[in-house]
Amino acid sequence: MRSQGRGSTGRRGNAFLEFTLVGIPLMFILISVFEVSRVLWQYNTAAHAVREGVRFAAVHGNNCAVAPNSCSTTVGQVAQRIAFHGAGVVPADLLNVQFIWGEADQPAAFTCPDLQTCLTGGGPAGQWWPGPAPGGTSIGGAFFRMPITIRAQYRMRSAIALFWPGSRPVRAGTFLLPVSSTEMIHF
Amino acid sequence: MGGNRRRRGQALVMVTLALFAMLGLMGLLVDFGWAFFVEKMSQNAADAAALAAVQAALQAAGSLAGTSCSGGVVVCAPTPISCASATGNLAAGCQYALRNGFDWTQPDTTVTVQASDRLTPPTVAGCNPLTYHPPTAPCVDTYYWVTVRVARQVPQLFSAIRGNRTGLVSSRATAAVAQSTTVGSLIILNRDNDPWIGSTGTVLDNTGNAVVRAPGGITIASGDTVDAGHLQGNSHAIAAFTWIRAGGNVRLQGNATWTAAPVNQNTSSSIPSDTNPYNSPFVDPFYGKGQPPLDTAELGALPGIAVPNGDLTTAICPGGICPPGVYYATEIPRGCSVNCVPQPSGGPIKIWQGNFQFQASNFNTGNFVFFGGLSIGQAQVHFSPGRYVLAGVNRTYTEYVFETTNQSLITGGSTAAGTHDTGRLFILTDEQYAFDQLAAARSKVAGQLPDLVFGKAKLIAGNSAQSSITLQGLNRLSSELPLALHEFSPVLFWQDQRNSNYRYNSDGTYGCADFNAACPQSTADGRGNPNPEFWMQATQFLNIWGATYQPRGAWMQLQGGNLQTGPIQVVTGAVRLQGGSDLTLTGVETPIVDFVASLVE
Repeated sequence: MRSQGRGSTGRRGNAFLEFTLVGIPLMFILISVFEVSRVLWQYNTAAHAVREGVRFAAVHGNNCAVAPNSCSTTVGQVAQRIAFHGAGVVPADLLNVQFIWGEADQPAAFTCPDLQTCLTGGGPAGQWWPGPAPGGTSIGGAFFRMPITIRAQYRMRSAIALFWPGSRPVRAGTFLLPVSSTEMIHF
Repeated sequence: MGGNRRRRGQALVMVTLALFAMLGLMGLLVDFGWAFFVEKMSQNAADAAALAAVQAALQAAGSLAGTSCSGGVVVCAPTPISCASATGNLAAGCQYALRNGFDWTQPDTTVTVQASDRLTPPTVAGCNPLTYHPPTAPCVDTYYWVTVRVARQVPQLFSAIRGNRTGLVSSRATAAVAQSTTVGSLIILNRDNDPWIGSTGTVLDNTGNAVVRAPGGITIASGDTVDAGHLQGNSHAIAAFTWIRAGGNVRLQGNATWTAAPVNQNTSSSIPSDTNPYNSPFVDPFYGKGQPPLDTAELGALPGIAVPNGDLTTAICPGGICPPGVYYATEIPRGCSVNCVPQPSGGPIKIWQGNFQFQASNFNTGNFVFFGGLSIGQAQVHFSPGRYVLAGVNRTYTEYVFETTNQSLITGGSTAAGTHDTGRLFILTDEQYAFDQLAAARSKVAGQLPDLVFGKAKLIAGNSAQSSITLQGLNRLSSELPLALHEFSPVLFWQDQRNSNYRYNSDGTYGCADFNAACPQSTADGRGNPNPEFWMQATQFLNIWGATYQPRGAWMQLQGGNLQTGPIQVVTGAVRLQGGSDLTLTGVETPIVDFVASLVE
């Protein structure tokens, strides 16, 4: 009985020690798994949103401005498309959204400091992109069958940084996920 | 011990509970991830299917006019139908959905197609300016469109808890026969080896003090390594851009400048090369379209109108109104002294004085054929909407199939934006035109026409409003314009492709497989002896809205001392500028376009 009791007491101590030794890394791993999943999830969503945005722009190119067509779009409208398809993507965290056109060696771009700015009509939201204004003459910003690109950086706040030794004061770390999509102008 | 026993199993309960939540979350992630993946796949499938269906339709139809639902060439489906019952070009499109992994015979997958032409509902007539657009792509003017919807039921792990075992993922894409803009307002087609009056290979030759401005851009198809473009003296070229085919250079002498600096194209992957001549900026924008068709039925109904000595008078045009008809000059044969009957001479129809209007009730009945050409002197002439065929010259009389002097007051249409009528098309040709479309008109001539050959054209504007030229080309925004001519809008002057130093095939494609080779006319498909010059003396009283078209191998001479600005697109083989002409080619609202299959939504 005594030995049993001693053994039992020893096992109790072991469990506590084991939990301490195993529990912390386990929690870390568990949270890491969640966080990496969340990062991938956010990255995929942001990439998907940008891809949808560029696809939308690709069918609203130069030909949209040539009479009688009047389907030209603005940077703001493309931004709305990105926001619509980015479920869970915080517009204020999608930074440096660049709307790029032109040859690789002479590119030009409109840049929203963040998507929210362009959603609310700020920045270059009013600029016609990728084609010119409706009723404009034959030549606009981007030509038929030329590539257009939307590039952005998604700002992630990750809880993993909480576990990083020496990070004081304790706060969620941020890092940037670059997303980009290119398509030829279809129309 | 008892407490110990109670604690035992608690972890199991907690882990079990936590497992439910964790597995649930995992299920949610898998559901979303899989749905995203399937959505991306379905969008690709819908895009490919819609585009393929329209491409197949365009290929089968061959022309815009063939894309009508009633034509029996393309398949229409006003309401969405399953791919299982699709036929023709729609079935062809469906194959692309299948190849992209969406098999509509599977119970979890549906693929539907919907298609219509320009005027059949559900095509919507709306927007300002008016467009005929698919319901899913507002304000995109189309001639035929296909919408493909691809949907698949995906299994649900998370939502299955609440009984939703499947979720629906779907995508939609619309493709259409829509217009695609041709690049450039000065389009120069000659290549390195095509002969013209200028130096071979130099296709934009500015020898005087002329300034040419092309805000819509210049494209030069010559790849001459020394001087595809040549400016000297105080001449200048000013354009938003100048594209020269790979290898080509410009030569600047004296004070000449060229802004923006020309750039070579065709090396870049984003500018299609000659491998697709239908989409190359250095190939005739009307490549493969043939020539603007005449309405042969209307031609057959025209009266033949004999014009004694070619002098147009009020005896022929009562009150100065000249009706549609086949006009030809007649003369008493030389040397005839008794019982002389006037015979067709092949001389030009001359309007050297007076006030005349070529008048028709609408564009389609406005068909005027002038055997021997048209010469306008100190007269007022108005051209109502229609086709004007200048059908060859008898070189005993003149070498010009169309000629004006600086005393003429010529009107027809409006050059101001938004006020255009259906427009007019002047066809500069010989007595046959493409596939001998003038046979019906020749049969209206009483007597034997002499052989009429190609002639030059000369358009000279005067120096006052009383001696000005205002002419407006074809306007595809007008509902009156026949569908067959939409592809040729906004052309005003069309020079026969056979009247050129370069050979075209009858379908409007280039005559030689090597596009860079000289390709002279052969007697088989040309009439030989071309006269491919267009002389334009521009002043500020030359107001043209539209495009002048000359085939590759022809050329334009521009001369003048005054500013001439206008919404003009010039397509020609080569250009020589002389004198102090200052020419500005601003953009046309409805520029030359190609009709292509394109995704529009």
